[in-house]
Amino acid sequence: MTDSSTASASGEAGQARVFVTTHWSVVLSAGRCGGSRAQNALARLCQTYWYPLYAYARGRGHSREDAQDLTQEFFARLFAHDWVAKADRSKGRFRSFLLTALKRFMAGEWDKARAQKRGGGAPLLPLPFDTAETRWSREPADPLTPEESFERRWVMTLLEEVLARLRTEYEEEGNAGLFSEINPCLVGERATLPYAQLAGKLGLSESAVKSAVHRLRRRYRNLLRHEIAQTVAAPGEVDEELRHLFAVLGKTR
Amino acid sequence: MDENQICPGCQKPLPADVPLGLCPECLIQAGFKTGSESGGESTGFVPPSVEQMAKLFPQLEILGFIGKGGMGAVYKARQPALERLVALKILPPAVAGAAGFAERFSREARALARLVHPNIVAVYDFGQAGGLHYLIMEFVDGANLREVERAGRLAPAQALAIVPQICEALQFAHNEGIVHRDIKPENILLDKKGRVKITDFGIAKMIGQSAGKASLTGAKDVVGTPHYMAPEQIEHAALVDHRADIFSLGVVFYEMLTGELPLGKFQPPSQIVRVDVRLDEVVLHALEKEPERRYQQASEVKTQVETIATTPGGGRVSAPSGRHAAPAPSPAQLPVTHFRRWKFSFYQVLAGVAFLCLLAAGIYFNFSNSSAEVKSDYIGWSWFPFGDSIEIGRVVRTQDKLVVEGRYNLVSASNAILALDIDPYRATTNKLYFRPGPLQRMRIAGGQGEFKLIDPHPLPAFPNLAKPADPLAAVRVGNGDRMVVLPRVLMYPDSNQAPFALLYFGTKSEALEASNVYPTRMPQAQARPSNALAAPPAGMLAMERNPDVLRIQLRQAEAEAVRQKSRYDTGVIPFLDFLAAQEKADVLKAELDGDEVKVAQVRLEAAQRIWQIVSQQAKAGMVTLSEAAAAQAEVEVREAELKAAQAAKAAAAGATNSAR
Repeated sequence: MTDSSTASASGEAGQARVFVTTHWSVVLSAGRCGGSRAQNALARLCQTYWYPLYAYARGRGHSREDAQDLTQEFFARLFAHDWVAKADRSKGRFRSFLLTALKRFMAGEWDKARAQKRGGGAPLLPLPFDTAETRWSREPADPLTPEESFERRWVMTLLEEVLARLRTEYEEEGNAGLFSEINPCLVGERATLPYAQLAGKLGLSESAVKSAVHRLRRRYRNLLRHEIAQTVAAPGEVDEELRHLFAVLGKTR
Repeated sequence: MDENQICPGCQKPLPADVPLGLCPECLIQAGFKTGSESGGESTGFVPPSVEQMAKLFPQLEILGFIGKGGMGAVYKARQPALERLVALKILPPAVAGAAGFAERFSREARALARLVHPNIVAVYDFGQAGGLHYLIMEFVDGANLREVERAGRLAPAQALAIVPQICEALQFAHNEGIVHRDIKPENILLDKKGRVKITDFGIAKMIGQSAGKASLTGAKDVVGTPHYMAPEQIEHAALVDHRADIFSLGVVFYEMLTGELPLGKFQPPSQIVRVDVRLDEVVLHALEKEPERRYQQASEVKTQVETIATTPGGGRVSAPSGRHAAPAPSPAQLPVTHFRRWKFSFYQVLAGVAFLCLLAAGIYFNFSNSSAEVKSDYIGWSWFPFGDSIEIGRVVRTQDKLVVEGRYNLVSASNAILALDIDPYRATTNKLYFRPGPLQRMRIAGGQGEFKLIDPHPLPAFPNLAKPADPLAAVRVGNGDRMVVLPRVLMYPDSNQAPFALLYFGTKSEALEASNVYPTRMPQAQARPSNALAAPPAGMLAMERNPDVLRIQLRQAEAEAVRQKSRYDTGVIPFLDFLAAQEKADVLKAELDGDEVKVAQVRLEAAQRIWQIVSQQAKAGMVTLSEAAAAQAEVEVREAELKAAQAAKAAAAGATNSAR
């Protein structure tokens, strides 16, 4: 109850509740050799966002095999060394940290690492490189710098991750059909769906369809914000990151 | 890969690699928090990122994004040439595209530039850049009234200090022929020196209110927030004059005092919270539906409010005048420096308090190794907002233990926890906190009583610390920092809640130490504790029955829980936030029953519910394991509290001398 003499923890300020820690903030605050919690958080982040790294390597002219090796080696180093501890905390975004670290790695250590065969130990993260290659070849040819491409892929990866989670939730509830019918409404208020038709198709009343749509939008927004929050240092930065990602997409047109 | 696909949302072509065939821009935009999801509301205005702004405004250093409203987006920036901070406000392009806008914009901006007043945010410049209309304004380092209200309940006395400043600003603008039209808490800024600054004057007019109810883009908040708008603003906007601002002021005032909006058949403030009955008249007069029946000048409102603030106790319920009020939340919640402009500089008060021996002078200080009795000077801070108080009569401190005896008077609740606490403070770096063990706590019932608290381990357990002769002396720790140990007795409703009353004690030299150590933790004013024990101080309402306060608090908590529920339903807040509000209401209900065991039970159940949710989230990977562990630990703590409450109930009820 000495808390009573400090900012008392009833959370009325609406800001940091007791439970708000995002992956990236855990990693950042862990500092040097953060321990298993920070390692787990970092692993979770890398498992989600590895594709932009692979694609960046491919885009810089590396072959399939080299890009694979590069990605794996990068992660191996990331976990073994203290790159995070050297991260500029004021920037705060996992996205920018990752790209910077990768570029540094490619500029310097990768050449050295190639010289000595990577020995011993299975890869840290099971990454599906085959699908990555397919995906990379399907990307539209945009006149973007490699960094802009990286960011664009980042957004796409993020959105895919969130949508996949959303779909999984609905599938687990047994609502896979519902999800596939109403997900087009996620693109915002102006996208109208023919509720009457859907109601007939799904065997629901029209108002049930409307509230299902409402619930879907709400759930999607929460998931999206939650996922973005994992990659920033403080929950308050989510909106700025959203704005940045929006601007990134704007560049590709 | 169909190149011809168009997004139904934004009408732009879809790239080929989109997930689920959905437009990524729209998907990202859907991630912003909007006020509500009712149709036709969103303006689709995404404020530019800081980098984009930097490109549009090369003459400024863009430092960050401050906020967004219906009236545009605001950024913090710096003018390098003048080396000053400014606020850069841009208006939504949708709004700027309307006919006649550019002309209205320049006309209004020029009018605003005439408004040079300490309580009005100054306009320095305006123009267009990259198709965006912008204003460069004075930067106010502080918070808006909405944020302050949310951070902690505004005491009525603070409201009485804010309103006259608003009136001055309004009167000045009205004299210049300018009506604000959108007075609301978000537009009332409070800077760190405690000054009020009104912003967004005339913005409503720029954007064009001639359309009346509907605005150009259908966005409701462009024409002013309906709750704060005068009736004539809604019905026939063209006939609006300065008296509309007075109405809005009334709404803001009402909300500051009561925490609620005056909707429908609303009760006068004095029936909702403890304020001077004369304020009812002021508020109601400002809230008259017909402009002719309101105050005709903002300066009239100011005069009335200042009169009430400076003359005490005019009615059945008296407002604490500026001298006596202290905010109910602990001082660290509300940045105290906001209100430093008030009557006393805190150093004055601290000095007065520290050296006025306000308590029963007991015993003289006898330095000896085995035991020493300390003259119980009052050295720190006390909150007695509703007449609660603590008086320390006798303090004995030895190497082995610390004994504090005294009397308490609990008037604002039916029970509380009295605790002896040690506040160790690292004099050069951060404050350290210390959770006292159960031996130093006791449950007390309302009313007067005596207490004796014993702490067998007065020194916090720091490694490598030799026990000095005086267990409460300042010690050196670790890297050479000086640790000052300040003992205190406090009375509070429950863990993690702000105390009713708190009293530091010690010798004169400790008083000096304390004044060095706590430079910014001073609440505004002091009650005089020596008066408090005899009877509730004159001018303050003695609680007739404690449950009344609880009932009011319960009502407010239930209303808040309902509000939180609707915010949860619209996806604005997560479920756990809603649960927290619900828990508060449940706890208050249990307290009304006067049953501490019930209270502990309710809290335990709440923690268990939270734990269920958090553990599910942990399985889904949505929270870290540490968060889950924290939730589980909280359940265990509350189980222990329940057991303690049950045991306390079993032991004799009421104030006892036994510290278990």
